[in-house]
Amino acid sequence: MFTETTIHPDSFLARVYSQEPLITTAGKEPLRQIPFLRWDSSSGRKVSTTATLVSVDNGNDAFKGAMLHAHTPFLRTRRIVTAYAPAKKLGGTSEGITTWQVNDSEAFWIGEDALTMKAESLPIGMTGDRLPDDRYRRYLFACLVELLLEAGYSTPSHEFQEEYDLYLSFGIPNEEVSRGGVNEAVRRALTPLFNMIYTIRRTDERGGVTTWMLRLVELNPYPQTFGSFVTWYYTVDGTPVETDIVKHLTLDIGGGQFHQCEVTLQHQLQGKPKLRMATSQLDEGTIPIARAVRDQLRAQHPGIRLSDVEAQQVLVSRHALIEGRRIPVDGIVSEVIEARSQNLLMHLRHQLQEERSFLMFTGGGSVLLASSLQELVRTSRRAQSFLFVPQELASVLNAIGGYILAQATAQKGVERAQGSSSSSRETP
Amino acid sequence: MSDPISIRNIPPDVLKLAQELSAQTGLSIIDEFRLALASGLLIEATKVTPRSDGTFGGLQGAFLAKALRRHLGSAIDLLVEHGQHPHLAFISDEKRAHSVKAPGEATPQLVPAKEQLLEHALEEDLDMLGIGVGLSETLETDA
Repeated sequence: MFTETTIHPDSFLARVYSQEPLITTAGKEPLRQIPFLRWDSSSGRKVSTTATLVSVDNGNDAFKGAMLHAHTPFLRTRRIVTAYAPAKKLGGTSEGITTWQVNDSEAFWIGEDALTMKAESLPIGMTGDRLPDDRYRRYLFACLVELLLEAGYSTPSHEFQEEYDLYLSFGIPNEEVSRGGVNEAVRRALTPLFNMIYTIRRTDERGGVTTWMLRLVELNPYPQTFGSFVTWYYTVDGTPVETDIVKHLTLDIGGGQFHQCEVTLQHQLQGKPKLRMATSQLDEGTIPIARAVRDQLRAQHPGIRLSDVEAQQVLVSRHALIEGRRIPVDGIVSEVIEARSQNLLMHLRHQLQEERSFLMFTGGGSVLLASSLQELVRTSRRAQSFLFVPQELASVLNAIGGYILAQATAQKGVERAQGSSSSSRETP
Repeated sequence: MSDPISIRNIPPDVLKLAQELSAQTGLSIIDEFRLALASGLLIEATKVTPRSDGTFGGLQGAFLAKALRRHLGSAIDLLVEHGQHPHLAFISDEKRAHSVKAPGEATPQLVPAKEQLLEHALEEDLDMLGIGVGLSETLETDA
């Protein structure tokens, strides 16, 4: 039974958490695909296509993706650790590792497979620092294929899969999105991804090969932390839930950054509340803690040299690969969290003392620091004044919100194309 | 390794299916049976009442679900394709017809005019906040 009192039962968040089918009150499913006009450089004109809605929260620690299942009204999500390693030839007769190739790139591994086989660090930081890295782009498209697979978009027993044009909601650091768009550095970083066909070859662990062709026909950047708020505030129908909260603060503790997103709801005498939003980065995310774990480990095992992403993984899994064995390192991790989390918690103390906002904690870091966070918050706040996003959703909630945003912007685009927006905007 | 176990009384149609699959995939019949046993037992585990410790035949629900997904993905696709998936009750015929299409088959009105799926409250809020400007729009403006 759904018992979380600070989540409205009609909210998108509640529906996803209870694993209920996502059906509007009119009995319709959310949008999966839309008709779309994309620019075709070879013919020099726009051509019509069908674009599939996808959302990605481009986190520093992991790719988080969300989309509706191809055939059922349930959302599918995928989280893949930001790790890349060039593939090596594996001998023996055992099962292999899923291997990727994008366009004519080297063969590579991603996620936990890459971590197991010694991952390279991909850039951490802002969009303009990360996307120009060729390895990162390959990783991103490989992750999109994994998301499509998760959502039932593969055609079994066919090497060549359908060509997918994707309408992508893309969560980026909040400060990179301003009213009306993104800054120039971000736009330059995103442009090479846009409207280009990427051919992705996936060889699974049994040697089965599938080839996917993906094109991002729309790329809609959104402030990533706002995504979590959207799931809390809107229903599957896209209407706001009824709430007496006027100041909602999302505290999003990620791998690379710790963000806050404050939304002010100005209730009106008539009609729905007006929203105002302000976002900022409070601090780094969990990466300093991960680096401290790495230093501690190295002090005890001088041969263990972890990259940032490997250190993050040790922090999350509380295990490290030492002398060929996966060894629990709970002691080191707990000790470091205890010592180093104070910096992050200091920001929260400020918010807790202020008592002005409703607090919603989300992001992978909120799971990692759950016990100290909860102890701190529960001793100083009443139960109805905060929400810890359930652990199973905390790390992917920004992406889920991105999917809701994709639906809204896609529908708006379709209406504009159909030239019917003025008549359809009449309130029923 | 334990001694081999002899399995008797395999129904002829099951044996025939195994022979057909063996011929098609190039795997031996023994390998086909081995695969069937592995996936079949996972399904059997879902049918028994959970034990008092909450496990299914000793397997945690989350682990069993993860293991089963690898085996059932193709089966679920087939059920959906032939309208036999139990969750299809949630999907209206109209939407199912529009659910997955290749770009070549683009239907001009996947979202029928004057029939929105989302209320406009969210769109209006995004307009107010200045969120939701796609790259195609900004590049068009610049062109």
